[in-house]
Amino acid sequence: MKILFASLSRIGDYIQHMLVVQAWAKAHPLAEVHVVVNDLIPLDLMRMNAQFQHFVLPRFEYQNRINQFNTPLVYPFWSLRKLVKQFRSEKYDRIVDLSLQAQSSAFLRLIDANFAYSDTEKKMIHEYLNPSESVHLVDKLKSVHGLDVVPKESVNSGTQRLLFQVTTSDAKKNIDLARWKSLVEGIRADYPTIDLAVIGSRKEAKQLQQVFQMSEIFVCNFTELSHVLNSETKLVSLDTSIKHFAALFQVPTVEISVGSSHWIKNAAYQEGNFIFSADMDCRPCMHSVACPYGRNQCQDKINFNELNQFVGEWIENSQLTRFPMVTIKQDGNLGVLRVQAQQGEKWNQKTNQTNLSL
Amino acid sequence: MIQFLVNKDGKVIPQSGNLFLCSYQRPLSESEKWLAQFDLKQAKDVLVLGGGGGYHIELLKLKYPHIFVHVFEFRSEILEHLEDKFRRTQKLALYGINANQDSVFYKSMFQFLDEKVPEIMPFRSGWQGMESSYEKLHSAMLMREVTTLSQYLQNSDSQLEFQSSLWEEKKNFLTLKNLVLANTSTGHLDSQVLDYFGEFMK
Repeated sequence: MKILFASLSRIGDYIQHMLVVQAWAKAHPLAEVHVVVNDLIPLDLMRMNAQFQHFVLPRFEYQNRINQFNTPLVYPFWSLRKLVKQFRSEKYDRIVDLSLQAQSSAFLRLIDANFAYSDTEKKMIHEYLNPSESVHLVDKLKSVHGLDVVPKESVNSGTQRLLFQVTTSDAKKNIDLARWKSLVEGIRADYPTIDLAVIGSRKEAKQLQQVFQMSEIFVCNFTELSHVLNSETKLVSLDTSIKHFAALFQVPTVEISVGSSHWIKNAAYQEGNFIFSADMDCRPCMHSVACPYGRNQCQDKINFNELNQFVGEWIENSQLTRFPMVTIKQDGNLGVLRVQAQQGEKWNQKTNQTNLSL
Repeated sequence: MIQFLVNKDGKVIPQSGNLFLCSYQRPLSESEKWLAQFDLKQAKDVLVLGGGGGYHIELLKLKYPHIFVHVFEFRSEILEHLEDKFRRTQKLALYGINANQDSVFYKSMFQFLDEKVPEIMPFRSGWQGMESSYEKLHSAMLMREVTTLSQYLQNSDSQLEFQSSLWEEKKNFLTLKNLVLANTSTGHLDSQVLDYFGEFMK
């Protein structure tokens, strides 16, 4: 059997999709598995899943060339035609779209005119787009494809090393860098034994240098980061691909959820992560719609003084006096403790006996 | 008739009539400025249009030794000079082009472009004295005008069909967006592939 999985969204989605692909391949050990991704996915990340043949649809290069004048007009057309012919010649027994987007399905219909979503997949898309639904992406996909995937548990080693991922590719999910700087300085002052570093890609380095000193920044690609995550460390991250990547190494993580980030749907697929979710009625907003406030005001709902105190206690393994949400395993799926599944849920529970027992 | 002069730095500079085919004074800094225009991070093949004194090709090979460089040149004397200069250079091909191109030439050129998808790198100093021939060839490669696009469609096995409105865009350079909007959906693979680019425009 030969199967093609399409993972044509962002890096974080790709990392989660690969959990589903790996589970599928485990259940079908004789199958030949191919994966098509877009040109956002770094090569070194693809190499980590080298057991599956990867193809790249250079969607963003095509998009850049739509209005270009200095290259031959039909280059993108030739390139895509060649790719489609190659896929057609593979003669797949089955094609599965994990991205579940209009653009990915349009591409898969080029490969196989009969490609269509099943009723279960259509139901999943509707449910996933429903803001009141709170089921993690991986849990949705595994139920659609009848696979066995369970969230692993983060491994708390008592390390004093802490990494920060302070930028995302989406302005709506960001928090001002100056606030991150004050948090890092606060933690340094209050907990001098903690070994801190701000991580960033080579593209992000310039932006980070405007706020942080070079000695505070760890510039890395996914391969370099994997070496660090594989040793003992903890992570504080916005809703980024890094937190999904860290979950592969069972790195204990504090997730900051603002803007369009959903505290369960977009959480790292891992038990034992803490989530600080901004409490605002408009959250989580639509990913593709610009924030009507110009600046995502929900970021101000994250209290960095409390976050500072929480991180200190968390790293030092002392009793937590500030309690955000924590991810748990519920019937094999990812859930969160102490949250009503509704938008704008307050994360900052009052300190009481119940919370302290956690 | 090409003459080869030697400048004060000992560099051989080709001259056609009273025109130098690369900078006489500073051929190396001219090459650096020329190369800086292009983003070749992803390139596997490039097509240099115009051989000049060959200094730009030399720099290109020095900076990107893994890229295969194809050089198109009209003048046989320049070609001979470049053959001599790059005798031991790997991943380099020199092509002599006739001033009068027929449909057989265009057909093989479009096949070549389709196969290699090279970055097109015009070296305009080397065009001097034959600007119109080079411009014609460059336009044919870019296919950005209705006449050159039509030339491509006639000389290829493309199954694309366009609405008549496209052929009225005579004054403007064409973009992929023009093609997508004028695409006649025929159900053929070519038409479906072009339609897909519409997804990026939504």
